[in-house]
Amino acid sequence: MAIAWPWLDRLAARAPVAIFVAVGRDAIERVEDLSLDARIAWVASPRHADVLLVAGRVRSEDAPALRAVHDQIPAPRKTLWWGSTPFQELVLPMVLPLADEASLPILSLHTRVSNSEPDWLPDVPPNPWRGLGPNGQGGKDMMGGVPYGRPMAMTDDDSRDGLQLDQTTVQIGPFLQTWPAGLVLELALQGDVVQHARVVHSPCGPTKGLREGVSSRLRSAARLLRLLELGSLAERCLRVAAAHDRCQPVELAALRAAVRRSGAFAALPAGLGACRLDGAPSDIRSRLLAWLGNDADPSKDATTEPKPKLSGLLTGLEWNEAWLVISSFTPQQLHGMAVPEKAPVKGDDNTTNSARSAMEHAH
Amino acid sequence: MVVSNPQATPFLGGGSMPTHAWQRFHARYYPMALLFIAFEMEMMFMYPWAVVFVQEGIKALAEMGMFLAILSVGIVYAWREGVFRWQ
Repeated sequence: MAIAWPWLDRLAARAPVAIFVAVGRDAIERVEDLSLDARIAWVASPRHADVLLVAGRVRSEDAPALRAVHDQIPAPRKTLWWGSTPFQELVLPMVLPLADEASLPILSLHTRVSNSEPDWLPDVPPNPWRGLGPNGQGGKDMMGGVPYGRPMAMTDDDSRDGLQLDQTTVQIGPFLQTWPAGLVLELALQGDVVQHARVVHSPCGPTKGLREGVSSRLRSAARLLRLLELGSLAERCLRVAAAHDRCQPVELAALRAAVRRSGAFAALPAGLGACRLDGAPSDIRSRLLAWLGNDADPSKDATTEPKPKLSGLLTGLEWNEAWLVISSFTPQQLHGMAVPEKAPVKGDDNTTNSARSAMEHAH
Repeated sequence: MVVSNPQATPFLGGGSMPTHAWQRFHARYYPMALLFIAFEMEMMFMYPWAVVFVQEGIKALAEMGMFLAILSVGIVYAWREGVFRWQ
């Protein structure tokens, strides 16, 4: 562009740095405190990000997901390893201990003029071409076949209203904003209804040495409010939680009133995620209310009652409700609920059979 | 702009899709939309009728009443068939 508008450049340079955070073990509290910095914008999608922040130790099983997320950040992109171990092959990665403040390194990393990081994955299709025919439809008929190595979605019975729709399977997680760190779910979706849910990897678990108190419960409330797109209320929750950590008196009543006024409770369907938790019936509204409460946590000493299974709670919900339900449990609660499950053996399933035979046919 | 293969994949928090994304959706609003269009056309007939009504008076009103009564049978039928149920 020939026209030079210096004021526009200065304005653009003052925009907050958009970071996408891959949260590993024991790092979510640090990331949430970092997100309160006005110079940094914690974005929900890598497509909107400039910098990838890898916070906390990333498990080896999550490494492929981390590579995929990194490559989805548009160029020019940078990565800051905050309390995590960089991949072996990287040349001069920027590493920072988790105890250090990350905001200034992120800002300097963002403004530094350098080449964009290359992709961490090879530039090949994630699944190789295995279809037949010019459009990759693969099979002989309209359906079937394995275009790009993936079987076509096939119809299956619907748990909600019996409409037979195409069922697609997605593996979601572990690096999503407001998502429990490390949780990987395999969902069979028909439209937006979750037909089956399976925990592939359990969440990283609660931060060691962190007791479930007012502060950690407020942080859980902040995650749920952020998911409801009530970002400023979520930040307020985090500020109150941080003040509580510094042993300052907290104004929970005012916060509770603000959440009520925001309509958050109206946005949460009554009875969603209903289950018996710690010996008492609860749903998403009552859990959010309890998080914003001042009372001592009733869920001390592990009750003998078995915890409900997360996958069972999600089945039959729409996707947005399912995410709300996942966010309505604290990391401590989720730890016992989301236990990895084995992939079902689908011997008697027509869908899989046809997909499998199509795949064999393609070979 | 050149988009590499890893960049072109959908964002699922690092996850992937074991099955293909080409799939059919059910347009649940379809019967409702059809009914809406039918009765929107009926409204179109009522604009010229309003001009005739000024000249003809009560006779035109009775005729339009008959027309609407016949059409409402269609609504009642569609209602019975569950068109207004979101399924």
